[in-house]
Parts: sequence; C-alpha cells; structure tokens
Amino acid sequence: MKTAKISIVGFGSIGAGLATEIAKKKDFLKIKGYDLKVVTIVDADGAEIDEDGLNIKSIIEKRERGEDFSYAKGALDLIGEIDQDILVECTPSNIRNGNPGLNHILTALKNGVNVVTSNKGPLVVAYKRIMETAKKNNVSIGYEATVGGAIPLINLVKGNLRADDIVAIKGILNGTSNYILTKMHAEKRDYEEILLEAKELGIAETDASYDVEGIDTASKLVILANSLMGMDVKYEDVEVEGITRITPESLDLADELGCTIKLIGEVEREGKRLKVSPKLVPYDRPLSVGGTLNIVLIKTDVAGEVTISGKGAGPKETSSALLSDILNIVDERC
Amino acid sequence: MKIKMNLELKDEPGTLARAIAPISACGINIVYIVHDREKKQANGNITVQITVEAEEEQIKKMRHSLEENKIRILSIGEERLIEELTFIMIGHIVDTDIKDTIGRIDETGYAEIVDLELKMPQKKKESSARVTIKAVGKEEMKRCMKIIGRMAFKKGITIVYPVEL
Ligand SMILES: NC(=O)c1ccc[n+]([C@@H]2O[C@H](COP(=O)([O-])OP(=O)(O)OC[C@H]3O[C@@H](n4cnc5c(N)ncnc54)[C@H](OP(=O)(O)O)[C@@H]3O)[C@@H](O)[C@H]2O)c1
Repeated sequence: MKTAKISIVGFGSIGAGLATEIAKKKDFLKIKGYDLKVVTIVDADGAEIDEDGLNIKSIIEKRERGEDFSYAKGALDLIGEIDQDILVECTPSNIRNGNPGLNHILTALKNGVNVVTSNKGPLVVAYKRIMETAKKNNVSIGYEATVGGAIPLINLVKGNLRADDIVAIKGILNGTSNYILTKMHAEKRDYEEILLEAKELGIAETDASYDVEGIDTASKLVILANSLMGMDVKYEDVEVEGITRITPESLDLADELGCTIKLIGEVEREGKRLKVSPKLVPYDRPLSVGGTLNIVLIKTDVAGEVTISGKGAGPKETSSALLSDILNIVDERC
Repeated sequence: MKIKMNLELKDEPGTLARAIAPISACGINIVYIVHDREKKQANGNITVQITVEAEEEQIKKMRHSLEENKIRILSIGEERLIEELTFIMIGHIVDTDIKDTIGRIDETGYAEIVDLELKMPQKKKESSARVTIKAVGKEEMKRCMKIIGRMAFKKGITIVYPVEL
C-alpha cells in the first residue's frame, strides 16, 4: 500500500468536490493500492488540520452549516508546519499575476512538496518559473485539471504521444460558451437570454466574462502551447474574440450551410499563431460537439490527428483529472 | 471571359506601357497586373502577369498585335475562379454600407462576390450576413481576407470564418 498525505488549498466547488471523491473512493483506491489521507484543508478564512487524516464528510457538513474552520491559518503557514506529500491548489484563477495560487505553488515546491493544481492563473503567468522550481527541488507538478476538465489531454500527450511532435492544437476549451452557442442555435434565441438562463442554472458564473469573452480559452491555449508544444508564449500573444456578438440570425445562416458556430481556440507552432474566435464548423466534424462538452484536436507529426472529447468542467469531472495527477505522483515519489 | 497571360518584357523603362498599349487598343479591359521586377529570367528579361476581360475575337486581335510589337506571350489561358470561401459577418452592416465595402472585392479583378444573404433581426440589433467569395487562387483569396479584415476592423464588424481542419 502506498500512502500519501494531501493538503487541499481552496475549498470551493473544486476543492470540496475533490475531497468528496477521495472519501467516496477510499475503498476502490485501497484495492488499487493507494491510501490517500487529506491532512489539511485550507480556505480563504482558515484551515482544518488532522495529521492522521480529516473526516471529510463532517467538514463538508460544517461548511454547509456556515461554520468557520477551526484554525486561523493560511496555506503558507501550513506548508512548512504540517508534513504533506502533495498540495492540491484550487484557489480562484488570476491571470494577471497568478496569485494567491502562484505563491502557494512556488512555496510548496521550494519546501519539497509536490503540487497538483486546477488553477490556470499560475501556469499562464509563470509556467517556466514553476517548472524550473519543481526541477530544482526534485518534486513534481501536475496540472491536467487546468485544461479540458476531465479530458486526459496533458497526460495523453506527455505519456502516450511523447514520441510525437505536436504541431497544432485546436478545439473547444470552454463549456459555458459551448452551452450558450448550442442553446442559441437549437432554440433560435438571443445571446443575452441564454446567458441569463445559464447563470440561473449554475452553468455560467455570475461574472461569465472570462468564459464568453474567450479569456478562459486563451489562458488554456497558453498553457498548452508552453507545456505541450515547446513554445514560449504569454497571454498577450493570443488574439482573442469571444461569442458576445453571435446572433441567432448568424447561426441560421450557418445552419443553411450545414454548419454551426463554435468558439474555437487554436495554436499553431508555425508562425507562433494563437487565436480564439468564433468559427463555422460543419455538423459532420467532431469539433461540432454540443452542450457543455469540450473537444480537442491534436495534430502531430507521426500520429496525424488525434481527437479527444469529454466534460470540460464540473467538480466531479475535474476531480478525475486531479486524482490522476495525484496517483501519478504517488507512483513516482511516495 | 477572364484571360490570364504572362508576357516577357525587357527590363527597361517604358516597356510595361508599350505592352499595355496594344491590349487597350483592342478595346480590352485590363483587370489585374502583377509586375515583379525582382523576378528575372535567365536572359535578364522580366515577366508580367496580366489578367484581362475579353471576348474570343478580341483575344485573337490582341495576340496578333502583341506579336507585331515583338512582345512574347509566355502563357495564356482562361482564368477560373477556383477558390471559394464562405463566411459570416455580424454588425451594423446596413448602416456601415456593406455594398461599398464588399464591392471592393469585385473591383480587385481576381475575385468576385458570388453570393450575399442578409438577415436582419426583428429588434434593433446587429444584423448578420453570409458572403461567398470566389477567387482565382489561394494567394488572391488571402488578399481578399486581408481587405475584409481591414474593413471589419474599421467598421467594427465581427467575421466568422470556417474552421480550418
Ligand atoms: N469549476 C470548475 O469546473 C473548474 C474546472 C477546472 C478548473 N477550475 C479551476 O479550479 C480553481 C477552483 O475553482 P472553483 O470552481 O472551485 O472556484 P471557487 O468555488 O471559487 O473556489 C475557490 C476557493 O478558494 C478559496 N480561496 C480564495 N483565496 C484563498 C486563499 N488565499 N487561500 C485559500 N483559499 C482561498 C475561496 O474562498 P472564498 O470564496 O472565501 O474567497 C474559494 O472557497 C479555479 O482556479 C478554477 O479556474 C475550475
């Protein structure tokens, strides 16, 4: 049995979702030879700590009752204080300076703690610095959950496709905007109406600007370009246009051609081209997937085109990606 | 019909004018000239690509006239619009006078708007249009996209192009 001590930083939908899955899958993971112990949970207002493993269910219930955490400590205080193998960083994404996530990640790595994250911000802002820090301190960083939710994209390319040179990646990387476009098309309704409805259903966040303006997709492109294509690009290198101007009439005009409109992110190494824009996609092509689905088409020198699709967000689905990174690290380091 | 030809000219001042004169004299409309003085042949002469709009009879006359003026025709043939691109425009298309802008594509001589479908919303919102362009080649289509891109930027219009697969 391999044992790993885990701390979760950021106990919002992803952090709590991961904790729930770890608790739910305890027996299943034990059969596979893994014993995962969550030793600290840190949120913006404090922390819960138990070096023998926290009782996740009671902490979630406590949260639901609106009670505060027991210890007035932050992630940075606990990194050196509590023995831990892996820190899972799930605080909000900030693509301007990466914080608070970047600070958490760098501090953990410098203290010899492995990191798994769903937070795009730090990787968009400081990919190189994070990788160098991990290498220097002989620890690992997993970030599968930052792009494409449950889709095993990064590990697919770094694992099975590692002999291939990735020349281009394109796809639908934002579930919220895909949901809005799919609904607008099917129901011939205005963008504003569907956006409002998506917010009410909890599919779009109250501030959905990151999703609908293409900022989230652009951030993911930066991570893919730097980590899978050996490029050295910044957010500012991406040409970005979102879906806010798409009209029901334009979707009608597309429909008459046998097409729909999708928010497509594309990165091509040649010419260092990174672009997010609404594009016409024929119905009979894989990139026309609807609803909140994400899809990624990877173009390589040997395999040609590989397409992979799945749920791009959601606490449960994203936990699949976080857990896969966690288990990889346990295999490698624990 | 549209005819594209390559003429061989001496690299000296005034040769292009001397080549154009016999063409115009036949009442032929020149739509497009590519004159690249950097690209020289082994004998030092240059090639000029001229596209004209003419009837068969006029072409015959023109060939004769060029020969008389000692201008060699390296190649000549009918020009076909082989590249096709369909895209969607979204914006205040009517207010910003779409006809004027896309009319510029027809003026290039190497491309034409072959289809235009406009859809206006019921409310006072932005309208959408689907445009199909045909051009003589890939390079020419790229030039059209540049013209459209500049226009879209200036007039605040969003363009939805087909995804390249
Ligand atoms: N939701 C998804 O489906 C999804 C999918 C893939 C990736 N992601 C990424 O995963 C991360 C988490 O997403 P989420 O949906 O779980 O967001 P969320 O619900 O807003 O959760 C973030 C949590 O982090 C806490 N936090 C803020 N600052 C902190 C700090 N300095 N120390 C400790 N905790 C802090 C927040 O507390 P307060 O609320 O009290 O400020 C909140 O509980 C984001 O970076 C997101 O982009 C999300």
